[in-house]
Amino acid sequence: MNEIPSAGLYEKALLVLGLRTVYRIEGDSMAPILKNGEEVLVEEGAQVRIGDVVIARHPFKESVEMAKRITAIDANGKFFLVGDNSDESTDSRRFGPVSLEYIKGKVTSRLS
Amino acid sequence: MINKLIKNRDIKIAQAHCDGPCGVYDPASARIAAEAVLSMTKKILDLTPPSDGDSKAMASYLNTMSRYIAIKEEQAQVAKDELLILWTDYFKPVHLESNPDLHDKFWKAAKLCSACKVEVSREHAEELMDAIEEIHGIFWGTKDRDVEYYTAS
Repeated sequence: MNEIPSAGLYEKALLVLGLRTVYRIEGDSMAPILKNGEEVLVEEGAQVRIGDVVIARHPFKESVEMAKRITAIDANGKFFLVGDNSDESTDSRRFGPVSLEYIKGKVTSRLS
Repeated sequence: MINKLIKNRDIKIAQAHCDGPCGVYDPASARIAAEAVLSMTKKILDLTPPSDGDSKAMASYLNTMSRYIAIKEEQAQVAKDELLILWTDYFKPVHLESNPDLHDKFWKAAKLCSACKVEVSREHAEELMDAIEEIHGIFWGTKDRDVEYYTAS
């Protein structure tokens, strides 16, 4: 399971340059890796692979963005997203795999 | 220096929980369904069959009876579904410490839903209401809130 490092100078510099976006995590579905209220830096449009924690748009709720982990990529290139704390997560087990266009970016570090 | 630069930044929200809407639970939804079950059970028991030979009245009787039965069975299932959501989604192991018989209570309440669905039993429908009232108390107790129990009918 990929750990998420604390943001160092490099990550913070990328944030200042506009190459990272800050997201605040709401909920416990990525606990214990990411806790409710924690802030993370996200590289939008990053290359993603299995094991990465990503920010993805909810396939049925346009305004909702979620933090989930990519656990598999199917034969059609769709991403299976699951919360680490699966008891408290609505994810691909419910809404199915999502295509790349729904993946906003990769969580690269934690800010707080 | 860099911490100053990144201080005033836009923050987006990433949800990491269940749709749900997460955290919105209330035994009232089970109670409303159980009330419908009790009401339909009473109506079924009170419905008088027409005298022999009156086919029009018999058709009306069967139609009404069928509707009562359909609603009773549907609402008994709704009550069961709502109870199972509370049981499996809301309640956590920590709640068992203060309510060690929680599993037994939900199991029996779910069984009562099944009984009410299959039978025409005023007794079981009333027992289901009592079980839900008890769950109401336990549920709000876990939130340290004193929420008054009431029924719509």
